[in-house]
Amino acid sequence: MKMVKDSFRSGIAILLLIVISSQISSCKKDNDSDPAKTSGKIIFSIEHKVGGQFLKENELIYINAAENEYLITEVKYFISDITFYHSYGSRKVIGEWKDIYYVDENITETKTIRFYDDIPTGIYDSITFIFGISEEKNKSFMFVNPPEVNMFWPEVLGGGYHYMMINGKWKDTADVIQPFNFHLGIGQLYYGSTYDVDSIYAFVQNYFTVHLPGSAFTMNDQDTIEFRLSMNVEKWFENPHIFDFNYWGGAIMQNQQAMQTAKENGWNVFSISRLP
Amino acid sequence: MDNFIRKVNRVACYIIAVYFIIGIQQPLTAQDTIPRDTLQLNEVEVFGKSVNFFPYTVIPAKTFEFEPVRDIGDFLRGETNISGIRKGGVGIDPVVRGFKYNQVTVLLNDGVKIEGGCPNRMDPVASHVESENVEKVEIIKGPYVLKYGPVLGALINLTTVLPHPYTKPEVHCEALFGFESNWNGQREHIALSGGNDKVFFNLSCGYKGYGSYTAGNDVLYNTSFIKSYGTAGFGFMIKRNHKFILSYTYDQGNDVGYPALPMDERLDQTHVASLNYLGQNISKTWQSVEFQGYFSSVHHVMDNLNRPASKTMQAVTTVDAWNGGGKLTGSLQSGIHKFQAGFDFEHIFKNGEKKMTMKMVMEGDTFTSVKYANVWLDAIYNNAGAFAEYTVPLKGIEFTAALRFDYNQATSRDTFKLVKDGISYFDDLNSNFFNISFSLGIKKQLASWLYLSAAVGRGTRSPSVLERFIKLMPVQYDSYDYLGNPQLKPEKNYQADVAFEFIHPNIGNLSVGGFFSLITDYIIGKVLPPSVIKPSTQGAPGVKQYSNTDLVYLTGFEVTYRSPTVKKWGLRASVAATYGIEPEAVKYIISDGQVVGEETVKNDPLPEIPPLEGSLQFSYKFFRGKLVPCATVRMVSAQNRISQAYGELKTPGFITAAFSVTCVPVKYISLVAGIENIFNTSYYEHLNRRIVGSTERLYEPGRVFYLTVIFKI
Repeated sequence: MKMVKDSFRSGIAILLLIVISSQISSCKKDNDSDPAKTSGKIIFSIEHKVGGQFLKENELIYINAAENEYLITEVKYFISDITFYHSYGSRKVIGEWKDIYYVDENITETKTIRFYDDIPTGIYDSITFIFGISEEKNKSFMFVNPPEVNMFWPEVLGGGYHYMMINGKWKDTADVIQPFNFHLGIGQLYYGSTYDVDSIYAFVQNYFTVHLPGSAFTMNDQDTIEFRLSMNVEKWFENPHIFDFNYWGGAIMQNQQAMQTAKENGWNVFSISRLP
Repeated sequence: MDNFIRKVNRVACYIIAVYFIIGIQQPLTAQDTIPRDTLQLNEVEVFGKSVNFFPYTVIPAKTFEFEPVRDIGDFLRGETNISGIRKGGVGIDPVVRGFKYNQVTVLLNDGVKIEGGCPNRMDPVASHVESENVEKVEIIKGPYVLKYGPVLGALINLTTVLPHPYTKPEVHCEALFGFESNWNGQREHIALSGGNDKVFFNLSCGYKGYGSYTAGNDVLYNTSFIKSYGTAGFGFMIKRNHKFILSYTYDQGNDVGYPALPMDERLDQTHVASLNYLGQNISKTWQSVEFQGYFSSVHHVMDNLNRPASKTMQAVTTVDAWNGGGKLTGSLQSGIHKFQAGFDFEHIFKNGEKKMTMKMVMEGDTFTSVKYANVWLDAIYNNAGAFAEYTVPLKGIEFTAALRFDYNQATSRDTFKLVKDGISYFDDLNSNFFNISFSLGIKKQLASWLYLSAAVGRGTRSPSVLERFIKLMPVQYDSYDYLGNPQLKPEKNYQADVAFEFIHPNIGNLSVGGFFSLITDYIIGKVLPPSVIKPSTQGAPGVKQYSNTDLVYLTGFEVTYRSPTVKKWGLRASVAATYGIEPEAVKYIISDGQVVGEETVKNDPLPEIPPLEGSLQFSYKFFRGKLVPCATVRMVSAQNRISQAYGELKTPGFITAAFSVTCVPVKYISLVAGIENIFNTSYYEHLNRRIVGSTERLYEPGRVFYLTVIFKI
């Protein structure tokens, strides 16, 4: 029966072949766009500030709450699972195309996120995102291309990718300029007091959810809403814990206590505002 | 006296031409019907009436043994409406009328198949065979000849040098040495053959070593390669009509550079063994019985250790691919009715693993992370087919009908699954298909010098192992990592061909033909969102998964002219083009480097379709063919019909010229000296891949001087 059906289809196809060949020359190129339904688009414009001013890299002009003089050379991090909470109780998690976004102060295009997802119309109460990458998604070798690949977090230290790298220098108590790598990622718990990788007995997921106060908005059909998302870098070092480079040192990726301190300071690092 | 000899030669040529008309011109069946111990036909060129109703080309070894052929795929690009995908110095993948990859069936000796190991097709089938071991190449365009396995768009049959009986005991030796400037390439080949009417043999071995070539733009591309090979064949006759041939071929590639791929080939080892039986004239009706059994294996290792990317991440991929099968064919003739039928079987097994090593120096310590991923895991593909072909002359019309059934089955032991948000991307690994292919053709003599041929057919091709099960390798032109789709449907090609042939002994042979092809369930890559899956190859912008698109069209024409070979002067000219259209293609809208939406592009040109191309070749035979200068000009137009949806780039047109002189100073020695790309033109073919990590295309070699010496006794 299938044979007969196939043969019948073949006959039809050959007839079609003749008909289509006569039409093919008259075909014109045409671009169709999917008609937008009751939804709009959202854009995040990301900026990095220190003390309310735009970040200036490589200048030893900043002083943190611990009174460390410091400069910043690099700021790069991941945000993921950006979520819009609808007033009806539903939520829209960004992920139809992309769910993990890399942001780098030195790569301009990473500081504008144009979401592929259509955001349904309605009133939204708030926006949240995960700072870093959730345990479920943070897998080694999932990024192979720069710049994301450069955020690789060694497999023996938990694998996956750094959540954040803020690199810079600070002036220590002897007025010597020392480098610091303020890095967040998967933490490790060690037996004893050394950081020997062979003594690791557990890993700690240090990603956290950022709630953005004042992020309510109304999405109308065909609207494009642009938000300014600001990272206030100095806040990583001040609340609720004062982060002193002279105490923690310049390298913290194998120091879970230091990363925990940074993580707990991260709750109010970001702020958001709607652009007109 | 000279005139007398000339006349005798001419008469001999005509006799041989007539012989070809009734013999060799019957595609792929010559050895079924012509005893191999009667004549060695390599020394003549084919001229005469073709009995084929489909586009058919035969290229005897004589045509290419004088050329600096590094790779069969490279050589095939010189044929009308055949192009090739270049990724490095060798391993050029033939594209026939826009059909590519597994849409073009490439086989050896009427049925031996090789499954390439490399997912990136560094080693397409033809790359496992060296041109020095090829006796002739046959090209059939269209899905019309169905007795050699499933065919979708075209069939390329490479007939290798096999042992054959001799009427009296003989031993022959052949040696070749070739050198090329630019990439300082040299090739050496030596062959021995002989036997009598009962037992016969052949042996050969060879070496090719080439450096990197410099293109016309003065850029040196890392295209060096080393190849070594050996063959052995043994045959014997039982009674007069029963012939057995055992043959074995070993082919090895080392350190083959592919600047347009993320990795280079470190090692490629190919073994091909076959057993052929041919029984002829079994009874008055029973013309012949033929059996062929074969096994081929490919061990392929590739890595990125010579690439800058290896500083952060090293990748080594190892693949083993086996192909085994057989065929039983019987031919019957009763009066004017000819009937051929048989069965064939093909089994493919493929296994491969990619090892990725990431090295990072962090805070003074070096950390190494290693990941193993399978490219294929015990992937299996089985295809069993039955075929029949019937030919009869009816009222001056040669009528041929062919039918083929295939049962295809594939599975894999993959543990990888990809299901997200209820969508199953890679899950059920089993698939079975029952495929039907058929063709009908006629050939009619309209006048004493004019022939009309027409054919319609349906070719069905089940998805390949790669298309079904590949996992994240950049196997296509666009640098994306590709993910297989175990639930792909077979492609079906409904094609029609019409050709007029003007044949005159004093004027030459002019052929004008056109084709139209409608392909349903066309297999093409569709982008998967990075939220579903991310690439695993450095330089890959994302992941595409093979999927079936509703239908696409391919149409084109071919015009060829060839002057009579009996003339001192020789002229060959050809012009051909193919156009491909995808009626509805999805294009992704990119803003600030990000995908922000998608739109449908109507009548988008298919990607990887070569542009309009023409060539002219002029030669003249001095001293009765002992000195033959030959000039060739190739003109290729720009390709501006590019796919928007697939982000293709335009290609400018170009003209190249070549010149050679063939000299036969004594009976046993031939010398060929020549120049390719005389004007050192800076150009690239439309199908040449991009250099990894850039939009720059891989350019063709610049000017090359070459010298080939052939000794035959």
